[in-house]
Amino acid sequence: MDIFNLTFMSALFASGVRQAVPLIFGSTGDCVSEKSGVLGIGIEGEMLFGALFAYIAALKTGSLWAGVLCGGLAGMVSALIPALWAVLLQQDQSITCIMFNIFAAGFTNFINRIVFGTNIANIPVPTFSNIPIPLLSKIPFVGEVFFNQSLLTYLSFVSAFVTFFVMKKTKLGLQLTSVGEDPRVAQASGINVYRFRILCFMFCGFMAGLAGASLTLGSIGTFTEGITSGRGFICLTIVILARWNPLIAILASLGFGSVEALQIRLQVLGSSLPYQFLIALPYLITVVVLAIGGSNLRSPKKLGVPFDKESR
Amino acid sequence: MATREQYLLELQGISKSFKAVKANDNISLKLAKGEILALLGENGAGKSTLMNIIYGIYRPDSGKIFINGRQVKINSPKEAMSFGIGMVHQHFMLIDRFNAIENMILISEDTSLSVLNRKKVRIRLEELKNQYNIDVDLDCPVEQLSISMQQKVEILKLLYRGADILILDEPTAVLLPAEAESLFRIMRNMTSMGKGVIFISHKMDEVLEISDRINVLSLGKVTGEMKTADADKNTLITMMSGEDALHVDAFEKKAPEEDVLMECEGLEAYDERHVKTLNGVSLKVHKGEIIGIAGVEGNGQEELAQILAGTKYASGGTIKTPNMDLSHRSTRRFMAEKIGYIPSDRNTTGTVSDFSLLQNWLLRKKEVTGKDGLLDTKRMRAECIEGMKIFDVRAKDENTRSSTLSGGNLQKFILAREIGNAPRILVCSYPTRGLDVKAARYVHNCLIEAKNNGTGIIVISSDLEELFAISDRIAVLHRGKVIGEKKPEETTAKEIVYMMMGGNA
Amino acid sequence: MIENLLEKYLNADLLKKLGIMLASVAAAILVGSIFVLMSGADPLEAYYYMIFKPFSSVTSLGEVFIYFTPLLLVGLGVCFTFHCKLSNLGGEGQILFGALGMTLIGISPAAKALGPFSLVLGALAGILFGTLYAALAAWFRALFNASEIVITLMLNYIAEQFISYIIFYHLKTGAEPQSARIAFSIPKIFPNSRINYGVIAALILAFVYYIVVYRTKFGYNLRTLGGSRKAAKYGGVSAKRYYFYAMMISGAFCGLAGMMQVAGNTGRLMSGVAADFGFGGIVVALLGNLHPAGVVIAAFFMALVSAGAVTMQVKTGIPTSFASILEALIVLFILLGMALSSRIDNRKKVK
Repeated sequence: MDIFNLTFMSALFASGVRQAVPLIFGSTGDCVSEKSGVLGIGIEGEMLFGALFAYIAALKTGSLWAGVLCGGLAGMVSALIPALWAVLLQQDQSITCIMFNIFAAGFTNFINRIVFGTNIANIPVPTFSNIPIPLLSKIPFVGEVFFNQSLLTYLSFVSAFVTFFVMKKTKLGLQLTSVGEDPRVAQASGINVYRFRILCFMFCGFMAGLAGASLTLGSIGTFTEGITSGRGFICLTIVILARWNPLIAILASLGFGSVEALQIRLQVLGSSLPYQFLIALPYLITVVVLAIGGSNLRSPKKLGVPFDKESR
Repeated sequence: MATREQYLLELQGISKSFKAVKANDNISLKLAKGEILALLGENGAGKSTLMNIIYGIYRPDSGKIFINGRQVKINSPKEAMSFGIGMVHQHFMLIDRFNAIENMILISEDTSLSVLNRKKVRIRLEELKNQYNIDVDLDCPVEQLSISMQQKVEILKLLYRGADILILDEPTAVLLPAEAESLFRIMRNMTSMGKGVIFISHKMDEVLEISDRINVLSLGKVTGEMKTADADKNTLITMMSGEDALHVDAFEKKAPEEDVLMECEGLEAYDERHVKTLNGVSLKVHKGEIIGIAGVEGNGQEELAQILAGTKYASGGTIKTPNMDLSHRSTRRFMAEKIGYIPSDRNTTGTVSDFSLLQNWLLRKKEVTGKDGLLDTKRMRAECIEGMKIFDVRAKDENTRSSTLSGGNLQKFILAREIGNAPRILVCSYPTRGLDVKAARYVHNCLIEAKNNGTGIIVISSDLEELFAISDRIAVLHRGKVIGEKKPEETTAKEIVYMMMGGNA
Repeated sequence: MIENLLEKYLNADLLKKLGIMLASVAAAILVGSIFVLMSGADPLEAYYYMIFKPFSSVTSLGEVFIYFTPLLLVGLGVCFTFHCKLSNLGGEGQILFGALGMTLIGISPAAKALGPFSLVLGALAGILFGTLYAALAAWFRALFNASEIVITLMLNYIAEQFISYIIFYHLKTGAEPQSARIAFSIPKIFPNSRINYGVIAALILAFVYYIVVYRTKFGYNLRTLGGSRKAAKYGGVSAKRYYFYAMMISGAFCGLAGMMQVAGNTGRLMSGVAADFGFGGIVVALLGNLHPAGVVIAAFFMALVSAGAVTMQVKTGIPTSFASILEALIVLFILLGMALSSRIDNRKKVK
């Protein structure tokens, strides 16, 4: 097969990196939220919020960056709902988050219809253009794949690196781990566990909002209903696979992004495989990865366990 | 008489009640610089309550606290720490995954965003290590350290924060003798630096060995105060027992019979952390016999209880009854063989706390379905009410949620259910833990009665008095092995303790 | 007799729960009006079309029951998993597979000859397919200890694509990607309404659910497992095995719901046949507090909202997605109410 030449491959992987951007944002946020002991299932809904409001803001202001910021903030504010229920009210985190996801799906569809009417395809906004990094982008293959990307892509990498640095190298990182491992000890060391977890959740929401923004403003240029189609859950899997490490999560995200890119390309090329199989591919891989990579791991000890200051 | 300023800590007339129970009744004590004060008392004497008051977890109903002669109010552990009070709890307050240095940074005054400076902390810790002669690995995650090492990390933590008053809550309960010795040396080093130590214990020998002064608590009151040099065991025992202590040997026991009900050989097991906790335990249970299993906690008791009751598989060894080989058989099979089990954890293992008593009654009942295959609630309700009456379970009715019952009543309920099954063998894990004296005595009476009716009973306990009172035979568990068996009338508590620490009989 | 019953059921605990449910519904409706106002409609009018209009005729009430049957079945199904503290979020996928099972029987050449029996066979096939698909998730959990939450969610997406593939490549008839009509549908009860006998089957199953969960040792074991894993072990209940049972029963109910969708509503396999009932069923289970009567009432209410949302959209232009906003709000408010009431209880206990 001579279509799998270098040009094709570099274009494929460059597209894979673009596809990975929402996953990198999302999994970075989820790393923090899960490390603090709160399941990030609500990230799917937060992404939807981010995607819609980023698109609306970009369309109304004409500025993509205003859109990105707005998307992040929308994700952050929406994250307050699961945060309030799961952390402060100590309700079952998975049920709360699933309900929040239903709410988010309904809410974004609703707003979308209200703002743009029912039957018209939404007006596209221009997407982020590629800004090659001088010198680095000249490296054959690698330069094309990694260093000829949009600013949003670079931002996703930077945010993952910064998060990694904070988690591994600062006291804040230790506090984060302690809150997820043993909130009682954390509380005794002077941390307000509730506030800490809520802040982590809001950070996760902000990142999920950016992930949503990168879906609408990074590649498609418009909002469609249910645009996230399970990417939030894929982020959860990435985080498990990456053992709560944002840097490894980048690699895993790139893997999933490449599968997505390959899937799209095969569809375009008219592969003999049914397209449904191709669409299902990332989900199938997620299940397999969870099965293989999900066992024998050390998750934060109190992940998913609500903290109650009063109980002993 | 020394002036108030000379005391690091002084308590005056501290009282604290929980509902009707007076946990602390007008308690006063003093701790001087460079002194080890022992707080001696049985379980439930009010030691923990008092310490939690000093540490700011509880607030006293009345009484005053002075630190360095200044009256203070302590509202939280954080405030206690700012007054220089540090406490080593029985459950360590450490993050398992961190090493000692990281655990120090977590409690340090650094701001959250400061970049980790492990070197600075290490230098300070090495200083403290040398100063107090504490030998501990600073780089190993806490979870991989032995219990005694973890305890040293805890002590190091307090010293790192600059605590002057150190409270050690039953620190030797989890230690081997040699480890206890090394802890005592550290305590001595601390007092020689002018710090004050409060040492909580119910072990008389240790208290006599290490402390400078002794305060004895019994039933929430200070019943004795003396210099250790002036103290002797007999007076201490009298002070500790108060008025309402257990009466040893008040039971009418039938002699055990010859028939063997259960025989296990070479049992081996691992705990949840995959540490081998049982290392070849062999036991025989005879008809109408109570075997007491003594041992320092964490020497495989929990695993042994679960294996004997069939809720855990042994990784090696055999369990047999005269009828069948039960090794690797299901819990249901054990239940069918009429092996009863009183687990140590009453609230989440012995019962489902959200269930009513009636629902909990069905938990280990085999014959609960009628001819139609549905639950025969009518019969079960009658049985439950009957059982509750016989065992004097005080609850509004059988529909009461089990979580609302007191520990004693809940234990009576579990006894009613298990003994109601007419077990051939009954495994009891810490049957009287956390119960008041009256409820404990009730439990003992029940066990003796069951024994006299022919049940073979295994009682795992850390309460030697209890074991001496009810057992026909005491087996000592040490590091996953039975290292000796004695009849209570042929041995002394001292000898058993010696064996518990690994000494040869 | 009646006094006894009243005393038994009208205890403080139940009244409190009932109060929380009703208050939550009211609060959700109140917050929902903000959304209605946002869309420029009149809340009273909107809620009239949503909640009261469906009662105006047998035909429109029949539409409610078209939603009621699958919602009740899925709701009962996920109750089994909730009882042992497991979450089956894979209802969507299991419904799709159940629908596939019914369709394969219904469009087979033998179906015409079988007549009504094709429905029985179809139901069995639907149940089988749904059960097996749920078993897959349970198997992943049991074997690899993978979280059933993410697995079931992923299996939904996979099932969706699989069904899409089937109707695109194998069962396609005509221009639209959908299967042929099944030979025999569930008969209607009234001529001028779509309500069919599936409702009766679903109600019977609600009774069966009651018997199984509250009157058998199996149900008791399931609830013990949910109450405390350690106590279940103590009582000789194998957690692994019961998680499997719960998941599979849950899948069976969802599969049957899929069968009802095909045999009582769409008449053929098409994309969107699951219609978010997998998640609606979760709302039903929680709103009904896992109690059979509660679940039936909750399913009816949710069906009313879903069917009414369609009328509401036509009449007032409010998007149907308003229904899912309302659903989610109701459950969130219930959780809020539960948390607050338990907090008040605790405070009382301390005093």
